[in-house]
Amino acid sequence: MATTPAAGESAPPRRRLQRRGRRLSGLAFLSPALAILLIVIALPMAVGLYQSFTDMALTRPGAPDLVGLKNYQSRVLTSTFARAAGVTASIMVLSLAVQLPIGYYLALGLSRRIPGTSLFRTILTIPMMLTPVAVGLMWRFLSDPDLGFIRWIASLVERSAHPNLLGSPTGALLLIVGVSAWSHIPFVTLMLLAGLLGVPDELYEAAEVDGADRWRQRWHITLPGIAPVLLIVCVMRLAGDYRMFDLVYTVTNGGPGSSTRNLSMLAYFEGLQYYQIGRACAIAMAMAVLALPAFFAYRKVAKL
Amino acid sequence: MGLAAVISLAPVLWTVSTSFKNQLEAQRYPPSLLPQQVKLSNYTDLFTDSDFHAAAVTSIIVTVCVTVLVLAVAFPCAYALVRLNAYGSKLVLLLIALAQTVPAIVVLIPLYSTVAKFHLYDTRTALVLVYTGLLIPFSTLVLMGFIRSVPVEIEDAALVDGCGRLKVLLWIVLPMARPALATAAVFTAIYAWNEFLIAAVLGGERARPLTVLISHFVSQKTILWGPMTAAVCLVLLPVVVVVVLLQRQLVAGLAAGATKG
Repeated sequence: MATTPAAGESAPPRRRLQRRGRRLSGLAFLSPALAILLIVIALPMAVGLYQSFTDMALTRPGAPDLVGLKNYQSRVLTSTFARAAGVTASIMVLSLAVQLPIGYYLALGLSRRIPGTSLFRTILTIPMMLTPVAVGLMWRFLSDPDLGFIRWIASLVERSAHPNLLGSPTGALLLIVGVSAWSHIPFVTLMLLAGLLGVPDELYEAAEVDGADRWRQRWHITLPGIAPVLLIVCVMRLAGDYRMFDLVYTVTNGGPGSSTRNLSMLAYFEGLQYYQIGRACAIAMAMAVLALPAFFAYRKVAKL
Repeated sequence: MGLAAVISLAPVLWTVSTSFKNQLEAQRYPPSLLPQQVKLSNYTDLFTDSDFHAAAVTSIIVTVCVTVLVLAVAFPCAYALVRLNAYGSKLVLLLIALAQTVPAIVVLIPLYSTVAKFHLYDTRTALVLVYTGLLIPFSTLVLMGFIRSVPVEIEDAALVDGCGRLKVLLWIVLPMARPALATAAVFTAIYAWNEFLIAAVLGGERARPLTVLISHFVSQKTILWGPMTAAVCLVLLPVVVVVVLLQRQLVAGLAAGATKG
């Protein structure tokens, strides 16, 4: 945006007019995008905020009444909401803890420019771009307790093994974390790889001359070098797992019981299974508030 | 490395293999690695199914419309943000950051009742509009990163020669930006093809893309693994083809789409 230095108050009037003309033609260029973003992002958030204070429900005809904070009391300040928030947080933290180290390790491997890395890169990119719903269905099938791939793998280790991940709360949660890792590690890897390749080789050579060992090089050169990318990856992955829906919906559908029902699922069920729009909007608004740290962090690291 | 590649591919290959098995073989344990008899019936059944046809058509139409619309809108927007210091820039960047961090369900529940009010529930129009809104941010970021990397002097020369901004955009920046536009298009198309939640909320029987259609397999009591895996493979096939062919664009777009650059 800093294509021209900001001219002071004393800029000649002609120049100022030109600048205004440029900024106005810019407005014309971005107005279609702005209009769509307002309709699809800003307007619904405002409508949602209003609806969260009403008893709007599609099961009941007639105009909705204002009910104040009732929806927040009955749907947000509850143990059900707290449990869903806990599930969401567990998925976010565990996923990041799995994805960062493995992604980093793979990025290191790919950065060594051994022949064949481009093939590996292609293979690694595939899971990342695959349709999440289809991936979820695929893993629902692979983890089927009676005939799935996971049972088969387990039986290679121990003949009588009969794991039922979908039947146990911890197992189901770990399965979600695993599927998320399977599909998102490629993103982490490729981002960190770009970061690693951006660190100038001369720094390592200089450190070599100074006699710094591998670990010191990692700590003092690699880490600061990839820190900006690392931050972006963390924010993007946390935001991504916070909003996760497709995978949970298809792999466990929130079960067993409500053990993997995250916030997105909770809001979805309230709104589209029970048609309680007012209550669902209260959950959605609480979700938006909880996303604020990610929003500010993202603006900062992405320089928006 | 090798292990990672195997872990990446094995689940997909296993699913492909199952899609060629008949119902009996698909449900047998211990399973067979390769189908004993290659059966195409899971696929041919889908091809003759009218629901599957309709969903495929919806998926294709929505993907194409969204990709064209997103590029048409995001390209001038990115240019205005980078070069023109446009009025409204701050608001656009704020909305982009919101779209990238706030979960889609937050806007979808209010949209659900709003869309119904305008008689757009269960229409492809509604899907295209909302997909576009949620996919504009990514392409705008990719294109902004590119435009910033191009020297501004070429544009300045054209401006001095009396070209208007629109001419500069269409005749000078657009031809140069073709690689970045390709990257943005590939990502947008894949994301539109993959999208599920928007269509699950705003679409019904008529505007139902493949993602929503195949999700119904798990809500049935007994899951028919053969047909399900075949449907999954058909949804994934175009994505895999694009990823393998356009590898370079994808890797380039990844970093660009995450930040303003």
